[in-house]
Amino acid sequence: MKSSETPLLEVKDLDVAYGTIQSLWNINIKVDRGMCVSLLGLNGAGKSTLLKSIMGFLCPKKGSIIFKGKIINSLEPWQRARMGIIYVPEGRGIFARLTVKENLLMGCYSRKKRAREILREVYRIFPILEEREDQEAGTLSGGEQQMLAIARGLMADPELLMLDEVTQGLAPTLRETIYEKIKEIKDLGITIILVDEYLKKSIEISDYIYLLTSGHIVLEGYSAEIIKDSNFLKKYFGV
Amino acid sequence: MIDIILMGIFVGSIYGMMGLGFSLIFTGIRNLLNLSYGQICILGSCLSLMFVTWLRIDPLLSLVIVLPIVFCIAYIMQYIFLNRVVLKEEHGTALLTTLGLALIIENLLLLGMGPDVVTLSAYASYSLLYIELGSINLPLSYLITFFASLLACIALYVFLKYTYIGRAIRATSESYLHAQLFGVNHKKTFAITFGLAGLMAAMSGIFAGFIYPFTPTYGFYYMEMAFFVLVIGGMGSIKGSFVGGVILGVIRSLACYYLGLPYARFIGNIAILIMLYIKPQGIFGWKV
Repeated sequence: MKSSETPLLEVKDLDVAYGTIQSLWNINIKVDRGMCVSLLGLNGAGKSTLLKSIMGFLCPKKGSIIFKGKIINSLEPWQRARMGIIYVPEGRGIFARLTVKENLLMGCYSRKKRAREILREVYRIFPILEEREDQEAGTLSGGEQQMLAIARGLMADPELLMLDEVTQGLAPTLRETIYEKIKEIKDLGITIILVDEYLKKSIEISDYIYLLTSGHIVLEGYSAEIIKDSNFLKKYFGV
Repeated sequence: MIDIILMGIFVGSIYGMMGLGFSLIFTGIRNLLNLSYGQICILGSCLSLMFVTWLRIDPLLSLVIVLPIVFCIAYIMQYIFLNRVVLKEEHGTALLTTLGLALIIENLLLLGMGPDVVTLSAYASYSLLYIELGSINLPLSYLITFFASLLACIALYVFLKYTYIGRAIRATSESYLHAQLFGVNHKKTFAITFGLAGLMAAMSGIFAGFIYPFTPTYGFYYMEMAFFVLVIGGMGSIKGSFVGGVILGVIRSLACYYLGLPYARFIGNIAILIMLYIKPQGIFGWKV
């Protein structure tokens, strides 16, 4: 990726293992400010593992994670969150017993001063959440919970927003809606790393793509060029 | 009989607050049964007695000094000794650690205070005053402790519901991993949770000290009562804890009057077993 500016996030020569089982080999990634980067690959390719490692839930065996020019390997997840790395996890991870509004306020735990301002913006993008403000989050439908999870991530005023499988298990119309929201977030200038199985849409919305297979990066490039690559689908399915 | 039940309700408010702290730890810190909880209650009573005799102040006034001290002790206990074991997957180590801490606190108190049974009521100027409600003579101290306990429970509710730290405690209780995603330092949050529970414990220890005599070895006895409130009233419910406490107060009051104290404890413990069998999350609680 050509840029004279320091990338917002850099991952260098990363090896990650779950105990003795290695799941990522020699991962090198650069994410520039304002870009939307997609991590593509089949289930088990290591996409979520990479996001969790960037967030700090997994300790790398080798390599470094560099955010805004600083190596953050030794920082705990909550410290990385306070720096502006916000992860919307697989399975949403909403707090079921808290209300919708309380979930959102948890989102801006480290940005309390701007809470009201950001909440207004978030309600503008997700009006359904304002309607259900005082409802217990566990009683929301799947799609609403997904929107809450993304909205909560936005409340944290992220510098880097990592979205992990945010359309998983949702009906096609809902998937379209979620992608419209992601586009709106991208237009706000927020840097995004997207992991999603909805291939067509995630390629459409992203600027740059990394394709992972069995823990290795096998292909990378600007999305406009990648779709023209005839080998792309072969490499995606590991043929 | 009405006066016996009424006394039970008033005393029950103290048990409610006692159980509330215990419940706060259980729901807030990964389902930890903190076996040193009763000793924290007694610590509150003993510290109060110490300041009351040394500074010649009213026991209620000693709250101002005792509460911050107990908060700090509980915070440090959680942060240094308990956090590392609470984050493990198996619960056994954490449980044993709390037992160890319980024995250490109890023995330190025995060293400092001796085994004599004491009471705080001797130092309160109003302990002999009564209020007449119809045919019932209600000790003023019971009334004061009832409203103080109610106030403390309401204050805790407001704190947990409307402050950022309160929300963080609730979020961390559901998932400390997901709470971290928003900058919550879960280790500090666990420590604050135990600190708050320590406040409930110390207050209930002091209020109980008005009504009953106590000695450093009563720690596990107080925990027995906290456990009743946790199971009967409901895990994670403030309203449930208060109601559970009142139920315990009434049971004990009636049983003590008609059958004697050993029967009161026995009936209480049978009730716990039955509740665990039919509705483990308690009357108002949610499934943990």
